[in-house]
Amino acid sequence: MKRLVALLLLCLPLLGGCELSTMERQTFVLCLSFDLDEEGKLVMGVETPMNGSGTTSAASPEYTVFSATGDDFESTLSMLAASTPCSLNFSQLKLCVFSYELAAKTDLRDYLVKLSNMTTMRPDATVMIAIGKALDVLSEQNPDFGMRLSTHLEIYLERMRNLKLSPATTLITCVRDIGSGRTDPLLAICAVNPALKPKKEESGKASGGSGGSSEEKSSEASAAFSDGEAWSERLLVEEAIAGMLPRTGVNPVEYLGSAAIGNGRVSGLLNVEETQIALYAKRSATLEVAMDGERTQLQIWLPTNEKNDMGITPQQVNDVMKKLQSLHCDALGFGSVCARTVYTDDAWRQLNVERRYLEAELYVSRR
Amino acid sequence: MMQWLKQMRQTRTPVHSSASQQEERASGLRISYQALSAVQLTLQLLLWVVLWAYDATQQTVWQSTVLTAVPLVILWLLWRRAEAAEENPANGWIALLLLPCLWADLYLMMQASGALMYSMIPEFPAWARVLLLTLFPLATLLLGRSRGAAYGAYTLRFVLLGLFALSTVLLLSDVRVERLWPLLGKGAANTAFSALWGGGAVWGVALLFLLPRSDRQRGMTPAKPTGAFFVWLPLALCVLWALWMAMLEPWRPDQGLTIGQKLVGMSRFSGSILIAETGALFWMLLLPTGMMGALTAGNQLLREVFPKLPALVGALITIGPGVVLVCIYQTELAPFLTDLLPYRFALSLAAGLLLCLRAGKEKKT
Repeated sequence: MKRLVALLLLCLPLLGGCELSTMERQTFVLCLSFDLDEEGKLVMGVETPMNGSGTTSAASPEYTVFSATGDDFESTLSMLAASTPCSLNFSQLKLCVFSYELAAKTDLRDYLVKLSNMTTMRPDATVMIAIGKALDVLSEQNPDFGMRLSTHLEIYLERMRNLKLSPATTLITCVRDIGSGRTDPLLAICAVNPALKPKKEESGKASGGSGGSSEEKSSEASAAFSDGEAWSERLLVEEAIAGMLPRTGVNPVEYLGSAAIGNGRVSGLLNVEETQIALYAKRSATLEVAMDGERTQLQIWLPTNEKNDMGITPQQVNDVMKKLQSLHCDALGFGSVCARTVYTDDAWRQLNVERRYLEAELYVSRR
Repeated sequence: MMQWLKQMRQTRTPVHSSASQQEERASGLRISYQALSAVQLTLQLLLWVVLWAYDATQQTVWQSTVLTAVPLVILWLLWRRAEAAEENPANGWIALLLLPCLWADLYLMMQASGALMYSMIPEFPAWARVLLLTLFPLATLLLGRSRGAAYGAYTLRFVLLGLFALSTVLLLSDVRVERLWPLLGKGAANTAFSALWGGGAVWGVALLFLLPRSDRQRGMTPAKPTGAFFVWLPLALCVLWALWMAMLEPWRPDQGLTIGQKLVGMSRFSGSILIAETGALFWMLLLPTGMMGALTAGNQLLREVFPKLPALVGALITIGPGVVLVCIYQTELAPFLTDLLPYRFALSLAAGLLLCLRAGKEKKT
């Protein structure tokens, strides 16, 4: 009798299934994008698999991209959710892309906190900055070799991270690090290579790299904030960066290089080589800070083990650090190192680490 | 499975007489009750660290947790001294002073469980959550074996430790020692004051002594004195948890996270989505075990004073206030709870002191 009652009570948690939502009645978002339109309104886009696609081995999975425009995050998300018959589920999110224009004008952390606090949101989704329109990146993504998009992104991004061609920054680590005063993250960048875009695409659609329309160039050039650098073509460096690789392929979207974050907003770009140097220094270097009154010296000590340093010289690290300083981006984490010189949070705030970082001398050597 | 569980109640070493068999069983039961009390203690400390201490102290939360060793030692020494008086059934009413502590603990655990459920499945109706949180512990207590909670906690010890390890040292997150600086954080006074608040979480040291004794009243042989292992292990685990939080910096106090989000706050930084989900699994096992411990303790303490009290009534008296508060404050904690929780230490201290005085009087007579 006791066992029967216990068995009946075990069914109690099934009461939670009163509003069950089957998998076919949910929209699993793989990629999310944020842009600003011509009027400065927020455009939120999602890329999801078509329900029922990819279930047979012969069929290639198909994906659909749809978007909504609104004044702010909450209203845009509501409109997006209302534009699909199925509820949005972010548990499979792989990529969250912000356009350079939006990321340069807005405090990114506001968006990222709201995203990370959403139910079903996957905390380890990769955050990227798109050169051009983020929605175009979603539209043009085309998985290689007939893979599913989620697998394609997983393998591709992991390989980029292992080769240090692209930083590994997830949604949750960005929420933690941006504005913390300890370090500023480097975000991976992506762009559509205009040379590889399918010809059927109509004109007027924004593209990445240097192939944008004149209207887009002028609107992007107007993106500016007090401490960072406005978007312009001169930001595109000659060396390898997303959207400019001389190659052929099915997938026109490239994920190479990184965007520096300064004062909570994107302040500039690093090409692949600079990204590799910055990530190497972040991983391998020992950091020290010397202060004498208002004078500050940031010391970067590289290891002397020649086998592991990919041939990177102190001068190269020095050049990249100068660039990061000019972009107000403390990618290596000198803020954390400065915290060791004081005992309390108040004393740390009084140090004014941000100002010291901009004015500090750099010293890079090996030991 | 049932056979294995039954064997848990048998002796752990070979025995050669019924007396040694009885002694072994008593020893096994004593350790099981202590494991249950240690789970209770660990859970209360972890809830204090996650829900209050980290927001107040951030990188110095581990220091605040270390400082809770002071009230812990005070209570442990006091209750050790009071062990002699606990043997006298006439002193059972003194333990009823701890009933408000059990009420507060149960409400806290029920609210945390409900908030965790809500954060994972927002569609779960509120009435179903309350029903589940009430009926499951009650049914488990009433339908299970008389010492089921104790044996269950002892059986789950390695599972809980394993999940704890996956939620901390094996989390595969980017913990960095430099996040511990500035070492004094918001100041030594702030850290010490937070530890004072945490003193309320260590009141459960009393259960380490009371639970085995209350069962011992039913004809078991005298048990050995309570050792230090089940006192220090919970503190060590919580210091480790606090240290990991300080080195990870999982959230900022102004982020406005809910209870459910805070409970799994560290797990969100795992490099593996599988390990990240075990964070929720850890709380899903620990919270019900703690709830069973609190319910068992309340029921036993009440029935020690009122032997004819039905088990159902004892359980309802213990869980009742928690159920009422969960119905009123569905997803967030009652606002007055934060101010009341530190007084659990005072109640435990008062009960211990009274028993010590009684022990002194009984020794004289």
